[in-house]
Amino acid sequence: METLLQILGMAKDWSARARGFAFLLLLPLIIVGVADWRIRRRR
Amino acid sequence: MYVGHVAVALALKTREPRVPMVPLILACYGPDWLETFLGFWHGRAEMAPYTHYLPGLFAGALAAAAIYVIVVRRPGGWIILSGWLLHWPADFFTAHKGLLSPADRVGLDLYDLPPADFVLESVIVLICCAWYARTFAHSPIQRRWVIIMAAALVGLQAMLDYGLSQDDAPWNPSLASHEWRPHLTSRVPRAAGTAARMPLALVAVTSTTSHDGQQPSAWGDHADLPHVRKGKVLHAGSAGVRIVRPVRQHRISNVRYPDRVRRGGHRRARGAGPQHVVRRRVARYHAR
Repeated sequence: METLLQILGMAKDWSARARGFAFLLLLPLIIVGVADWRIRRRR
Repeated sequence: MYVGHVAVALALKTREPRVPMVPLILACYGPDWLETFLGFWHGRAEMAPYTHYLPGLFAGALAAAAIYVIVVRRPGGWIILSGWLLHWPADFFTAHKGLLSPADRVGLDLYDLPPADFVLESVIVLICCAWYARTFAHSPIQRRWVIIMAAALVGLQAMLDYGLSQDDAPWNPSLASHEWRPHLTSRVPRAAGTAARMPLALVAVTSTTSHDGQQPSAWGDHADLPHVRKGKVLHAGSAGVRIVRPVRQHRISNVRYPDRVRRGGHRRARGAGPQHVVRRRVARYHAR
């Protein structure tokens, strides 16, 4: 559970929380970046 | 808000297709990225006033748009600006965000109501993905990628809301400052309960204007204007008129603009009662 909370940016330690939050912000960027790149390639 | 910011980016992308998607998403998550970056040294909570409150938000948006225009050298700086600024309205739905200071944090706090947060953000994402697909995805393969993107984003949101549901914080939406401010500070003690304050609130005008002038009024001292201390009575305006309204006992209508009063109209209605303070004796006239 602590690992999931760390990924979700909700760990108790603020440093782990910041790393988890950064990872959380990176995920939508990767998903939409890849999808948009694939869509534009075939435009 | 989490994947809702992506929905904002997808919607803005349809308005200006020349803006690359990565800078656009970075701008829509801009305050969060800035808060995370600064939080590595001091903690995210301490940095929130510099990134998410309105002054910091506007400063960050202008800086991001300027950097985009100078470095990327593409049109669409206003899209970057809009994406950064729309972060605050989006976060308003899910958390408490400050306006100018920590004392005035407002928000609907849906992060403490995870099912509602999931429904809201998923619906926004699906609508904006459909909008994006209508603009950019014309072939079946392109539409498939849009579907994959939407499913992945909804899955991310589900993961976040599952994590949020483990924390049983109470739902606490706020549209204003939590501090209670009484209407009649000079008369009603703060210790009085709601049961005592409500009747006072309903009869406030009658009770405060019927004093004999020994006690100060809640709206100021009216010692020079004796007519305003008289109580109000219900009175029909004229014969045949069914509208009954409260007027003062002397039945003289209030003078809203004393400096515009002429000899006719309002002044005539006063009759021979107490002289109004704006009426002065004219020395030469009375000397005759």
